[in-house]
Amino acid sequence: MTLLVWALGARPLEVLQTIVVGALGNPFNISQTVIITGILIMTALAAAIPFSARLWNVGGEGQMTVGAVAAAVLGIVLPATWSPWLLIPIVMIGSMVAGALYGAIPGWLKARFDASEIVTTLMLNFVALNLATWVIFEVFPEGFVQRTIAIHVNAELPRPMEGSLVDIGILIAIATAVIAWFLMKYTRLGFSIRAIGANNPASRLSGVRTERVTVQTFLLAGAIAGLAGSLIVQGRDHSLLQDFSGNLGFLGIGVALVARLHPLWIIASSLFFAILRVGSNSLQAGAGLSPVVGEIVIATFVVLLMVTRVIRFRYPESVDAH
Amino acid sequence: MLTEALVLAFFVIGIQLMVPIAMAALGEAVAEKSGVLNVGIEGMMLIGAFVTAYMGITRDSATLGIIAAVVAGIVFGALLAFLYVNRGTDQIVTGLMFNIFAVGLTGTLHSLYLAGQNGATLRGIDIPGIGSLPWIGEILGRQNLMLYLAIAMALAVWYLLNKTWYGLYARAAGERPIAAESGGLDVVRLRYPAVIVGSVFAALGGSVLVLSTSGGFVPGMTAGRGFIALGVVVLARWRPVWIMIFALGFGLTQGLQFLAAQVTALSAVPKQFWVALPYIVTVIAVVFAPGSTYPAAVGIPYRRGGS
Amino acid sequence: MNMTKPRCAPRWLLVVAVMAMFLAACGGGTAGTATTAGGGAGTSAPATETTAPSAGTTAPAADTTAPSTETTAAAAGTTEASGGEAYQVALIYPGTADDLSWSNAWFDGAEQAMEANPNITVESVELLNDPAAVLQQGSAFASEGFDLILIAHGAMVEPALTLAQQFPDVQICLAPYNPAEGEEWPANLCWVDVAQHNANFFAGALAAMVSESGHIASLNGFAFPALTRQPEAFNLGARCVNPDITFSQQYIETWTDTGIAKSAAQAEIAGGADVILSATDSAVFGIIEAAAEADGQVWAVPSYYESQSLDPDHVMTSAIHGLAFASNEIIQAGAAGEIEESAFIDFDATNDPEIDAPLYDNIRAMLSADELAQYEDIVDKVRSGEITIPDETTGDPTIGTEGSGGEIDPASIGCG
Repeated sequence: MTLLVWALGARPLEVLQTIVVGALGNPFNISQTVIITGILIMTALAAAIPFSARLWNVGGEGQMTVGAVAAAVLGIVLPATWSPWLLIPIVMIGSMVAGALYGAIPGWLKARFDASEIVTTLMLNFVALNLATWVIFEVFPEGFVQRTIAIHVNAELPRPMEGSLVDIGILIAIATAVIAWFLMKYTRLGFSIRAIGANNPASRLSGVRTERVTVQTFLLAGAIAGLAGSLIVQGRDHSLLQDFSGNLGFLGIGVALVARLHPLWIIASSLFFAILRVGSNSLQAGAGLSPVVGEIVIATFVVLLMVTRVIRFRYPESVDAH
Repeated sequence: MLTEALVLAFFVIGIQLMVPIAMAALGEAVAEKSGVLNVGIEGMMLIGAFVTAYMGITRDSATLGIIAAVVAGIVFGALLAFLYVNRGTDQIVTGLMFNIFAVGLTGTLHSLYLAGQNGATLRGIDIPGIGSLPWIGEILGRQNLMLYLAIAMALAVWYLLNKTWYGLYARAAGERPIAAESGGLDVVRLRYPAVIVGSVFAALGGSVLVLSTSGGFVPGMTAGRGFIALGVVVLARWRPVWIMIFALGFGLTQGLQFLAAQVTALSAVPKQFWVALPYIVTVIAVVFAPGSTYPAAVGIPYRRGGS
Repeated sequence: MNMTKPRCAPRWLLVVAVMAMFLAACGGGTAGTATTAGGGAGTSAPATETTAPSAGTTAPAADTTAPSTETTAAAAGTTEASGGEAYQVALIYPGTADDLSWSNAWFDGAEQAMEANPNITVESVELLNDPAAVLQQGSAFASEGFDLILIAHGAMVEPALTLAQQFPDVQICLAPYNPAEGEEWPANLCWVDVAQHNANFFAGALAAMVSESGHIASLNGFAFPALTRQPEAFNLGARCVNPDITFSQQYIETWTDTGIAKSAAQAEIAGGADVILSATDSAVFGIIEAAAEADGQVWAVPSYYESQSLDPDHVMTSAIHGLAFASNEIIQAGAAGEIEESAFIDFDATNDPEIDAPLYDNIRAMLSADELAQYEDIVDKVRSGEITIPDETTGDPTIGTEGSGGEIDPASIGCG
């Protein structure tokens, strides 16, 4: 990593300092880091839960997009006069339902037809992207630039700290992580997911209905990813923008892995990635590096963690066994 | 209005859009048959496109561009193989991270060296005897050398997988690695060349994109074609001929949007639908393609000694 | 299961090995130029030195909660830099500094401003399409004490508003944006609109004269008024010369996919078009290639930037949107303290002399004296205001609506 930074013509310590200051150096940057952390927690959970069942949901990006579309559409078409107590939860639930249904498509296809979820989720990312494009440009265009009109003020997530952009999304995200942890550890669904993940032949015997759990897992992951989209629209942007995602859906996969798929560790891991992501935006101003370098650093870092086996997966004992 | 010229153009376009996807998919088939799922082909295509444009612009040579793509495929393929095979990192995640890495790398290098320049390209070539045929001559006459390279690659993959000892052993490594090893095969050494071949093919797919369009590089120009290739491989059930057919199908479906734009009766359909259509069709096709499950050991890192 | 196997090598060795491979690969592609890469966007060399002091200056601001003025202590008092004091500008755009397109033009204008006024320094940031990243970049520069943040990306209205509120002492400008009637915005925020489509109007007039088939076409990125006005004005300009011209267009839903752009252009060529406007970004490469591969003479018209060099035999003209002029003007006005509160700065062909569709020699040679005179007459009339090209806020339909270029009566705007 150091060498990479050095090779691109900057001093590593300076880059490190720039990233940390850029992410945490003032209240504004901190607010950005906190907002991104909240979104990453969601997209990471949307990867971690299915990954625990060895279901490769690489469609978090698309499910998040559909959730964002739903949030924007509902936030625009529902009556503006509704109180925030009614409007905010309805829009959020709408996003979750949209994300869940979108996630259920690959889940059901996997369960019913054994269609590779890697392929279907990747393809559905593109479909979601075009759905968003359609809504942005044809259904609710802002009138001049590449975004929809703004959602109702009453549908916006509150920003409790005066003068700060931080909305309550981060609290929702942390709560979701805790619920996900509880669900994975103490409920029957969580047990089933882990049992499938361990590919334990006994799991079927002990009554785990693989097909059903597969669909449920994808519903759950899709709902959480959809909620990430709602955080972006209701919390951060207040409208649906072209290129709003910044690859946060894909990045969530890296976050989940660094946390070894553990819902609570995902909170810390998200914070770490958010610092890298937000901080690397200061590289240009601070160290004269293109901001894209931040992506290189993140990707290299995750791969290095895997290479050094800091992160690793449990795989079934033998693929020859069946 | 549908004219003959438009229908001919539709097929020219479909074949054109097929070639890069077909190349990447052929390479992916080899890698997957040996048991390695390389999701990093999207990034590999970008890198191949970049080095091709670099050579095309600085040396004004398409040939050097193709050679550079092959070299880049070998270098980065070896890197990926080291990660996938030697270090046993998770293949899906490594591949996705490699894609992000490649976007950043090519984007940075592009803005430093290549922005706003175009370079060497390849134009349509005449095959004696075909050029004079009605319709077919018209369509094929517009295709450049890379179409024929793709066909040659398909034949080579078919031969490699079905007619050589390597193909047989590699498939064993992809289906039952433990049995293969107890039978005296070296799974690691079988998978290495497969990943490298897959990467070289993907890089060549990237160089097609550049050589067919002005020779310039544009950040993100692969636009998800590597992911499409992943779908095509599954659809075609790892058979080279079917990879060509499904890649062509994808190209033609993508080409539909240009036909639709000229047929007034279809103007009510949102254009985004046409752009999304090939992906929707791929999902449906994956569902109904019989027996399209991955080789048993795909995606699972293999450690010597069985665990 | 994963047995914990004895490690064969220390982990750090592995890390070094992997990095070495990355490096070898980078070096291979770029012929050992890696050490110069600190330049990043090509202009940022001076930036490296500024980090240490400014990192310190951002820290004291940490006590602010209200949407206050304290946050920008570092920047305070510098907005009207003059008389030898440095005026620091951050320029943010979606492409690259030499992409022969939108971003290239903004970058050029910044360079011109720096030449004109040595007190001005400009940092540019490339390839930014993510609103969150624009916000973060902007705040990074604002915290470092920059005086003007110029965002050349129309989708970034929300980040620009947020930045203006968070850093009230920093001048924020965003282009392109055309505020609605009665819209209010912060005092330190300026909107900039360049009537880019005026250049497309010129290009359309020229295309109508050059086209042999009487059929011209346009390939467009995405449909929103700031973009839609470009193909529509192209059509309107063509109809100003030849009311019976056939015009067809497609939205290709991409800025960068050259393969898709080439295919779309081939379909248009098959449909009979022989002049094709590019109202998209780098994907124009594909359009030029399609023109070059076509059987007869087909012309491409790149937008934003002078692009004849890409292929002199197939580039008919370039719809030069005059963005460099706007960029230069805004930065110099900022340095001189001349940007008004809540400004809306509007450029069009009457006040931006760089908005143009140049007549290249090979095209000039193709046209008759009458046609040349007619073209120059149209250009003169637009510049003097005799022909008024509608903008996307006026008229019914406005020029920002799909199909308007075919509906607006050319005579009603002063043609003929």
